[in-house]
Amino acid sequence: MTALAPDPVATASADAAVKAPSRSLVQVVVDTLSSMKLAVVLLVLLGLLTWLGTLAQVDRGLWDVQREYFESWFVIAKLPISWWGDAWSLADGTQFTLRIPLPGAYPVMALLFLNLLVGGFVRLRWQLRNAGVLITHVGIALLLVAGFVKLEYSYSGYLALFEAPKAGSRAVEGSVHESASFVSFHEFELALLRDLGDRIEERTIHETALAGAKGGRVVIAPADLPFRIELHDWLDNCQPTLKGPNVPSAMPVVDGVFLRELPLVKEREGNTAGCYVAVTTRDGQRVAGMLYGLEMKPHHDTRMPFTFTVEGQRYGLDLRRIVYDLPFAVRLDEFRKTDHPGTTMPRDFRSFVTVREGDAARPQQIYMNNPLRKDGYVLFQTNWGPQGGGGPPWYSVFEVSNNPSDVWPTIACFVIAIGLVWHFLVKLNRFLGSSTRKAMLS
Amino acid sequence: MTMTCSPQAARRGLPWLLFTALLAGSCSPPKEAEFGPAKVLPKDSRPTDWGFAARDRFGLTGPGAQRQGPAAATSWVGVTPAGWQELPPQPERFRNLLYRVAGKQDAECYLTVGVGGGIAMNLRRWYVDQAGKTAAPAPESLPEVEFAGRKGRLVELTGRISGKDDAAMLIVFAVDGDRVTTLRMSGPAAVLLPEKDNFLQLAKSLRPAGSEASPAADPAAGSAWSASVPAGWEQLPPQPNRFRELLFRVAGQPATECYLTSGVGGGATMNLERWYVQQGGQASAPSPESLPEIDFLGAKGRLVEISGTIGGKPEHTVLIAMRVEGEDVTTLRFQGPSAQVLPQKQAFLALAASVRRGGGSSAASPAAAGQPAAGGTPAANVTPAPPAAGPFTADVPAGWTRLAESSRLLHHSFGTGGEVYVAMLGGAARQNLDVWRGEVAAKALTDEEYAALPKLPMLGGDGVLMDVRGDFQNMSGKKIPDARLLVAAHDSGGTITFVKLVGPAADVAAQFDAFSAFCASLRRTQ
Repeated sequence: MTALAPDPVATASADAAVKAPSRSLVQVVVDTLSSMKLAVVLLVLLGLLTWLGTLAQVDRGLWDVQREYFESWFVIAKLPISWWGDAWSLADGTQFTLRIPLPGAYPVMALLFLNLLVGGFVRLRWQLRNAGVLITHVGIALLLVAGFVKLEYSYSGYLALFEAPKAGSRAVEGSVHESASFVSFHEFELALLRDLGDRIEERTIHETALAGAKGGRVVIAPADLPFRIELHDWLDNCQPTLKGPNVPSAMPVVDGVFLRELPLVKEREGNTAGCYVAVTTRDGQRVAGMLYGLEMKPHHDTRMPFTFTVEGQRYGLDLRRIVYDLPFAVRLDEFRKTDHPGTTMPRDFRSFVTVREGDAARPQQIYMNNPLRKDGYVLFQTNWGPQGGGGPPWYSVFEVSNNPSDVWPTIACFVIAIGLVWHFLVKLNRFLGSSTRKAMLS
Repeated sequence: MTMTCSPQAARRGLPWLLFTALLAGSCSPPKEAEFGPAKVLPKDSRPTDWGFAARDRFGLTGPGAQRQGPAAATSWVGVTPAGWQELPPQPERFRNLLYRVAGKQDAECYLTVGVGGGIAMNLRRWYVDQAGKTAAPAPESLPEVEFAGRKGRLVELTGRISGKDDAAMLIVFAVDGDRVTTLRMSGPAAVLLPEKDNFLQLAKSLRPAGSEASPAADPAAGSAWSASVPAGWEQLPPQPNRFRELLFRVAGQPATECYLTSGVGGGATMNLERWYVQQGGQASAPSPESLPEIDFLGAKGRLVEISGTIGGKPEHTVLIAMRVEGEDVTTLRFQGPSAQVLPQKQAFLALAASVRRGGGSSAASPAAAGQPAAGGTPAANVTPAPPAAGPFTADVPAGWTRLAESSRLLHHSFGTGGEVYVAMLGGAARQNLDVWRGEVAAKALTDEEYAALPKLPMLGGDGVLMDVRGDFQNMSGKKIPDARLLVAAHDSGGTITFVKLVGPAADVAAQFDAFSAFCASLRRTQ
């Protein structure tokens, strides 16, 4: 990075360019993008965003803050001034919050990437003595590219499995021991299922496309299907509740049940979305229902969609956390937790799983720092249950991620290390042969 | 905070305002959406239960494993006080049981099972919203009364209630988490208050149909097993999700636990290996034949006795009565500190000898009860309700087959795909008839057509008969080409009782007389 490794030759060249009496537009752009001042500004902005984003997590969940501060183009950061004393409280006692408009981390890092490219590769002289700096720039650029690829192309979720019953024991009814899919932590999707007997046809829509159902209606009219779907009264966190004579509800009541809105929980995974749905056939028949996105794994594997039949074909609509299919199945054979002596604090917890792919099966242990890596997926040991006792049987929770740039940060770190070592060695060599050193020795 | 703005500044700001409005408009969420591409998956990769109603999908059944709807409406019984009249339940109006003081049309008493909202919200509704009080009392401050074999609380309000002067309201309620079951009586105070004792007697007498006592009062309820509890022991509610189908402990000694587990697989040898070697830390397990014989489950069983460090707990003892049937092992296991278990050995053996299959009500799993399963996840897979006749009985014609698994009332099949059942609905009869006409693509009845519908004897009065023909298709997907639909409807003052018969036209023609006879024989049992 130019800001970290100023090179006298490069700096001189830049100064010369700045002092040039007339510059072309391309030169102006190159000079601006390669400017060390720009690098400093961008790094300060990143520091500021990190600080304000961390403060924002006092009141808000990580997922929200990450999207607003670090994955956005623009953010109005909020800084509660009254943290520094009551003098900043407003007359009505409320907290005075400073609102600071800032670019989001996304454009800042994109600019930093350009700054590295232009400053490092275009303006820096390609000489052996600068090789270390160039390699370091490559490493940092790779780190930023890895972040971009992760943001744009990776997905993750979790897979929770109960221990498979051993000989002589019985499984908890309905519990899940083996699965070839995992679900998102945070995000919901609407799935339209079509019952084809021994198969199921599935189409999905991400929840962002259904945002209009909050306070409005979203219409989905598949051209090849004989009905249209309307979603309305979407609630980000709710609970189905029986409508009784003394239970008021402003929401529609379906089959004696309505969706009761609940306050949003700070951590997004704690919220369960729900909405109402109406299906209208071409001949005007209409049926109304309700969707609720509760995830029940590993206690229950079976989903119960809102079911309707049109022209003799059975369909289901299911609001659920996004389901990702794996190219292999994982079965939990045993979960083992070892506590620190005399405490209930776990010293080690690990899962013994069997990975099945077709007829092939192989055992594997998953524990801290020893994830299962297969076919681009990584399964980390992340949690277990029932917490606070209740097992056996235990269930184990794995975070599953598919990140094409999974190992790029590691490679980037090695590249940066090589670049820095090279550069320091060059500097050391120059110092050892320099007149300054000779003068010092004499 | 006050903001001022000069006209010049306003003019300068106008384009920005327009730009912002344009931007906001362009960012409003879309009103249409499209599914992504379809993919076809094996059925097993998306385990799906189709066709459940909302309350079943969300595990919202009432307490006592009773479903809401018609099945729930008939699942409670009570002793009707003298001078009172029991009316048909109106589940669609949350009246699972309904009574009236004879001759008093404006004094209604009804049972509502397991409505949501919690007791605080309900108390506020009764006291503040309906009775105009400034606040609702704490539930604990209300007098205790007996309610369906358990402890309930009594609400007694008089004055102006729901806009009516000189009114009274008596409510007995019991709380199960967020759900409240109430017996409520309201009407003129002059009618209600003299009936208070009758009201309380009725509350006391209420029971889920088919049970001698409420589940809360009898810990053995919910188990398919029975046993004689030894003196000095206490029986706890079974925990089927932890394989404890009967559960006991020595009174006052919570470290002891004794429970029955049936049908564990693996056979005797593997289980003995597990108990002796894995749990008892012993080098090997004895053969089943070498263990002492005892009386267990009315037959010969074997006794396992292991003392020492059991499951990591020192100075513990486990006594296991074991009976093997093929690969299945049924056990009564008693464990705890040796000092507490060993003195109770004879009591344990007597308990083992007394265990019998049967004696409790049907086994209740958390799923069946609609209660949260392990881990707090609501149970979604609800066991179908038992066959229901509800408050009706009728002479079933020859050739009709009872659909035992159906939750509909008096549900029978006939011919090839024909069915007949009884339903009770709120609203107007004509409105409901029009809904059913839509199933055969027939237009709604005109005033003249409705007035001209023929009459037939039904429920001690006259009902109307609708006879319509067409291709049948209902929303649950059932299709009958060239079908004939017969619906007999009887209005009993707000509740419409229907007998609905549908099937292939040829089959229905043959059943027409049977249908008329069935309607004529239909009568209430409650």
